[in-house]
Amino acid sequence: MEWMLEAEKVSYDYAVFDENGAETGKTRAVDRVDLKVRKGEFVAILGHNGSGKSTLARHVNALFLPTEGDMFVEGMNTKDDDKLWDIRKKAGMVFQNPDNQIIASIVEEDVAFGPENLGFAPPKIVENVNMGLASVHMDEYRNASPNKLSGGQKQRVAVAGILAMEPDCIILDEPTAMLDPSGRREVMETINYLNREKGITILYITHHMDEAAKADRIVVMDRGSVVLSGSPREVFSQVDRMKELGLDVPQATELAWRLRKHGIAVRADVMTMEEMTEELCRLKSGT
Amino acid sequence: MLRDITIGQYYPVDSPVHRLDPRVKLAGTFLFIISIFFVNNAVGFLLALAMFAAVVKLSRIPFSYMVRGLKTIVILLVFSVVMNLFLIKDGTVLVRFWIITITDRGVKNAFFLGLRLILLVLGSSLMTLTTTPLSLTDGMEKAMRPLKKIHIPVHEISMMMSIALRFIPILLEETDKIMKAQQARGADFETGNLIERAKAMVPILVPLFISAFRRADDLATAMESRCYRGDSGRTRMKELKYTKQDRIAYLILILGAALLIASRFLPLAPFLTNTGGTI
Amino acid sequence: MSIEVRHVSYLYEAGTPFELAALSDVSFTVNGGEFIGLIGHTGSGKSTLIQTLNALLEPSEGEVLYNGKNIFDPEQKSRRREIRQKVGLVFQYPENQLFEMTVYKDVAFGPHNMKLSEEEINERVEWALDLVGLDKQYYEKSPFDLSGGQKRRVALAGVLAMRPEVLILDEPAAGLDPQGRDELFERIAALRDRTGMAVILVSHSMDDVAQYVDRILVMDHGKLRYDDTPAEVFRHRTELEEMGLAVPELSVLSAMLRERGFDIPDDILRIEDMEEKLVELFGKGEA
Repeated sequence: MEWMLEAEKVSYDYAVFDENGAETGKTRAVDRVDLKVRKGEFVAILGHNGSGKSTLARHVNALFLPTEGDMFVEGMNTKDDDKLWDIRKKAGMVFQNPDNQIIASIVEEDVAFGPENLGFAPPKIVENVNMGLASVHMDEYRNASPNKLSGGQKQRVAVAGILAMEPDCIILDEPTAMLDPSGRREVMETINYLNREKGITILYITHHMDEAAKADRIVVMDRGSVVLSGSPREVFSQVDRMKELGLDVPQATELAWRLRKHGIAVRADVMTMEEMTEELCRLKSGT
Repeated sequence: MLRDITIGQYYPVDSPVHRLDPRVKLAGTFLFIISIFFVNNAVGFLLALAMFAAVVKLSRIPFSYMVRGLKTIVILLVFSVVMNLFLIKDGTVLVRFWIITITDRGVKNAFFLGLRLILLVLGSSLMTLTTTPLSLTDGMEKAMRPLKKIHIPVHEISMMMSIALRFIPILLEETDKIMKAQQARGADFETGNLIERAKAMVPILVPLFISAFRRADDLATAMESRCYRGDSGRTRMKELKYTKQDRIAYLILILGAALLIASRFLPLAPFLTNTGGTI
Repeated sequence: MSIEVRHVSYLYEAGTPFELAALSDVSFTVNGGEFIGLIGHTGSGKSTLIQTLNALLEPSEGEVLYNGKNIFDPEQKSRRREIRQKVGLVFQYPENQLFEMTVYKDVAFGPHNMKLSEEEINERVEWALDLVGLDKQYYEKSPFDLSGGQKRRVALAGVLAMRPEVLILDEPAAGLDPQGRDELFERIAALRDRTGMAVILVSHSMDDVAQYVDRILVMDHGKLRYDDTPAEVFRHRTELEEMGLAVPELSVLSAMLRERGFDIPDDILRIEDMEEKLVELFGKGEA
């Protein structure tokens, strides 16, 4: 099976209620999304708040079921009740608020929560907890209380808790939105490591363009639909479109876009200030 | 100030007490509490104090840290002691001043009651300090398993308790934050009469409840996505099994409790015993 | 208006083995109308510092003077509440303190606590809501029905309605998407121009605040390490990176370009200025 995830014309409607709790209508949060993610791929989903990216992500974990269309995880339809727990085991999810997803008061007990639910034998749980904590470099905190950890460390514990379930794919729903720069760096490094070294498929929801830039592919969502998709270079070099969507592009890319408007022939797809420097030097020596 | 509450907070060190089976500690705490109610003289209290001190020493929890947990019951403690001191009128009068009468019985009662309360609180906090909430609830769940037969949701209750324990410190911190934020908007929690003060709590309680509900919702989603489906098919990383140490601990506990209860029957001088009823 | 911080130190849990110096010997002065960025890593002491400015935390040592008067004068306890009105403090995620049934009532909470007349309260609430760009149609709405960005603006208005002379904002853009963040910073800059109040932006991101502020204070391990203009502060790139702080990308670019022989000043912090400078160097439409 080549595809980790396949969304086929997935749509999702939220019911809207009035003050008395009566249903008054529906809002379409996800609108006919087609998306395929290969095994081992690192896909970032960019979009502003309310673009439907989180709603889509929750479909992968079968927390939401499509109103229309189908979502497949390793070929299993999320609508198939018998496959529910297999799907959640294969595709684990990390959420935004680090505090609200840690259940236990001791790090290792929290990491064990998933495998315990799956009914693994105790020695196997211990093994998986050790592996999970080692992969996110949190072994030395195994007996610590989550309340004593930094935001970045808590998110790494959450990732370890998913890893201990032996997933093939991890969905991260804005895992760094509440973290400081060093916490963000820690989480990004962990995710990169898991993707490159362990071959875990990553679906990374964010509105930080610098994080999305690390992905193999960026999918941009707006009003429930996929509006752009491609490599980070391809996506970011469409500066006009990205600005229209209310999203950032790397400053170097924006500068290139501005310079090109004045007829200065730097490449449109520069992503870093180093590349920009090289481009400007190239132009200078050319004249 | 809210962070000073040590009841319910696990103190992470490794010690023989920490390693005991939670069921042993539950039973131990239970026995200790019952024995304390039997103790009625100075020898018994000294014995109880000595036993408690020995367990604290063994648990490697700094004594000063334990004592901080008493802060939360200071008001209750002072109130009960004062009530006993002033309201017990029989016995030999020691002080008579305006409407206040203090008798030797009152002093004795107040003293023993205070000691009893302190031992009760410290005894139960020792359990939570040395047992992680999850293993504590595991222990309870296992100890209460027979109740399942009469349809008491034992697993759900213990899960709720362990989650509550995990979120107490978070919500306390949040309360602190919200209080400061409202103070920055000129809120006043320190002056005014009772009704005004109660009204001043609204700006704290509303945001706190909203946040608690949001957290509960998030947590439920996170648990679901980690394949939680109640007790069915769930295993444990650390299955509870009694070891030799646990059996020895049980023996020591029963012996200790027997000693404490026996102390009641020591023939002691009356000034060392507390026979009167306490409030 | 002036706030003078003199040799302020603050110890957490003083006298216990957990004693921790959150601030040590910090001194600086804030004058009326200044626009200041307070930068530091998590745990650098910046949050503690702003709470001492607004009389929520009394320093262990040193004093804070507001217009020359000690705000922690033990003889003048009522002064503290007065200071909290003069020095408006907007906490991180301020929308978490909203509690009233309507937007209007929530914003009125501060002025109401000041025991102002009904008229004065109304006038201030309308003024404050206008400053954050919420018009009459929002007055009677429940704050909990608004979007995240709108909630935050209501919370900001709640502090503005006390008509502070200094406004301190702790990570005002945390959790907002790029568009929401840009809008908020533009709004803060605009309301500062309109009201002439001094503004202190607290952040761990240089990039966010650099282009708005005139002066930057850098905190590290409880000490005030730099207090200077942005351009001056960014000259210390290595030192800042050691503190876990990143220099704005444009400063990095101009440094690299200067190394390669370009004639670029080191105080360019806005992308428009960099564009202009490069266009000047390369000439228009030569390609």
